[in-house]
Amino acid sequence: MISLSMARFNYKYKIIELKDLTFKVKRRLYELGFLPCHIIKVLRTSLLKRSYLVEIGGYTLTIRRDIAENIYVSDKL
Amino acid sequence: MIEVSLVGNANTGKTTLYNTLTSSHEHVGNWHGVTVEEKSCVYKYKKDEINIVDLPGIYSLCPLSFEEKVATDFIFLHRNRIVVNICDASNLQRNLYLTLSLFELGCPVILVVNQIDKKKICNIDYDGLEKQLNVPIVYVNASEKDCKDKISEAIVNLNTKINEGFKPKYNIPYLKDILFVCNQKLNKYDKNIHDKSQNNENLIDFYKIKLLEDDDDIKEKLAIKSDFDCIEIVAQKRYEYIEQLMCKYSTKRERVYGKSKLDKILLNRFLALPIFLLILFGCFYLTFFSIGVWLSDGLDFLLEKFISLPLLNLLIDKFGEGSAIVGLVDTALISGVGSIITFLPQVALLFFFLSSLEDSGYLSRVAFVFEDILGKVGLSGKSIYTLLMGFGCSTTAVLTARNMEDKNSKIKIGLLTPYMSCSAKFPVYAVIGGAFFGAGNIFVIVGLYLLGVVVAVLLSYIFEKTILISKEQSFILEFPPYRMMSIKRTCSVLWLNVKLFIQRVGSLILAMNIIIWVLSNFSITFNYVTTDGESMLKTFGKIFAPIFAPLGFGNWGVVSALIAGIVAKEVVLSSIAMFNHVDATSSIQASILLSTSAVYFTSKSAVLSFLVFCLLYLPCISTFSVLLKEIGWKWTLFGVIIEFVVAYVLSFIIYTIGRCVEYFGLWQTLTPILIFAIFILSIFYITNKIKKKRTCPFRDKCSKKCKIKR
Repeated sequence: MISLSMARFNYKYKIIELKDLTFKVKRRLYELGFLPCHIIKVLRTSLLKRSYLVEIGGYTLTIRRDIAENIYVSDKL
Repeated sequence: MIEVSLVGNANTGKTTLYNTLTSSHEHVGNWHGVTVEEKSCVYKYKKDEINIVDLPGIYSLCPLSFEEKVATDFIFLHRNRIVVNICDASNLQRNLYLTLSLFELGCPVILVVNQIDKKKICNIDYDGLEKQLNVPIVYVNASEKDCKDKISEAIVNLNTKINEGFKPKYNIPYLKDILFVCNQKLNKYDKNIHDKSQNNENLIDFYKIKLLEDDDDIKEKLAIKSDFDCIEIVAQKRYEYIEQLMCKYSTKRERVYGKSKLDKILLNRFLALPIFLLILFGCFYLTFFSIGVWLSDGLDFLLEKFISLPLLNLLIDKFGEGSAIVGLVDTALISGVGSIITFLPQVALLFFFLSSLEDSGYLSRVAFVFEDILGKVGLSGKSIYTLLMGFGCSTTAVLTARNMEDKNSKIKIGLLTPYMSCSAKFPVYAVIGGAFFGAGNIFVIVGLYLLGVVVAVLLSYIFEKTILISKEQSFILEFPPYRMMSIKRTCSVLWLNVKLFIQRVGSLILAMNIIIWVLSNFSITFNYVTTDGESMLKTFGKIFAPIFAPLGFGNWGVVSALIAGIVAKEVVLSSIAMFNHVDATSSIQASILLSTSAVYFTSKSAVLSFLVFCLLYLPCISTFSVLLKEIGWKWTLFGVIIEFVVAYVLSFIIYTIGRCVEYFGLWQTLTPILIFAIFILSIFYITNKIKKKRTCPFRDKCSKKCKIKR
């Protein structure tokens, strides 16, 4: 199990759990499909790696590094 | 009247549909959070009147930002209204999550599937889905006119059914499982929930689910403080059902929504920022220094030849040359309004470029790129929308601050927006700067635009470290697909902005010009005064003029123009034209070079100081009123004071440096300034180094007795 911030670009990972996030952020992530067993892919990061562009559930969205650090995924599929 | 709410995820085309249904021209764009407040309009379909309300985009009924709260509160308060739930066909799976939440609330729903993109991501069996969910489904392209009939027909049909006693019963198989968990966890709150929901079955279930989701508003309403932490179960059940639906009624997705090969270049870690700056510079160059200038010159020529001179000659023939009416038309209308109206092509072009950026889907990518920089000064990457919109109009830009997730961020971005050089400030830069700097004015204008951004960023950093500490923003932002602006939309954007500009000049600015003309041509005893006479404005301006003397422009004319400019920034220029008695045959630029004029500048440093003051001093009255509404009077007042102080101090510094350069030469002035700057920076560097050294490197495992800062 690794944190999403450690994931390699363009590889598929399976979400395991979300840790240490506020209720509001956790809820929003669940609403957007960041649920256990769902597949996620990191597409790229910004220059200073403060934000991450990810692909989940057939669409793309950005999240901040501190959120990515608290999303735990399985080893790459 | 049939009451309808337009609900859906962000960027699914709600406002486009609203515009099509009601023939309105509300602002639309291809990014997250264009609509930040509810808008309503009544339209007629056959015999029925339909009142439709457009709401900001939401992902669920649990809000995260201010604009989402506007939408969720409205839906909850008006839950008996018909809900037109608009979903993007390209991203149906995610969109259905909200649909299921609406079903749980028991709203009468019509599902509208909007096929914005011509390239289909997957094929959907709408009939099968309609039967499975037991909800009317209409699939349309929201920008095409035929959708009006389809949707209105569905609304009227549903309304007829409701009037006959129909109550929606949706097929939500997972609801039993969730309610089972609810009953286990929420046993002791049953009485409370039943009392508050007045035994309405749908509402009881909805409250229970919301409690499982730890919705703060519902908890507050039911006076429950415990956390249930079951959000995952609820979301999992909804997504399982959606996945079943998609497997059964949709083909496999062919591409990913919002993913594009173009991003490899536009979001390249090292190229992204230079590309954005290049695009922005290109837009400004085309607007202010090439096409825009040619169009402005053409308009100026046409206005002078076909309107100004013939009108003036006609009035002189009728009333005589020295009459008050000729003076009023010549100064207030021809030179005052005329000096602003010639900038119409440039303003229209600027808004066209900003709209193109909005429609392209590039703005969300810019937010991603800027998260690095803005995050360091306590702003979210999303703030870039507000700041960029500030280049067009601060008033509308301040409203987009509702995209922020916490109150302090909203206040901060609201306070910083007026520092951007809005389109109303540009005519002042172009005319006044042009008179003194000629071709070099391009650097002055670029410098002023940059200065606004730099001041905003520095102030944000100071606010973040002192009084407006913001919570960490999640920066969860969906990427829309790239889209080209259609010819129809291009024409519509240009026409709307031309219309708005003419309306503004013809109403507010003309009225202000007439008031200023009266104040500058009549004395306190209300006698008509000559050029050298003591007018009301001159008397008033002389009181305040000494305050601005240290900034290099302490004459009554400049001060009065600045005060008048609080109404609208363009009025600064039209006031100068009126005070200097510029007529149809002379120019403002020539008049401000003469020391005999009411408004004149003695040196280039005084002009620079004046332009900087114009950029920063106070927001216009409409921005002020929006700020009052959005952030409250205390913060607005604070913002206004800070703006004035910042403008005064910076203008003073620029004027002093400018004077030193004029007296002692460039290098003799810059050398001590550079030495001083290096000295200050070294102090900061050393202090930071010492602080870092004093931080215990083993702070996680270190004992509490350790005296080094943890």
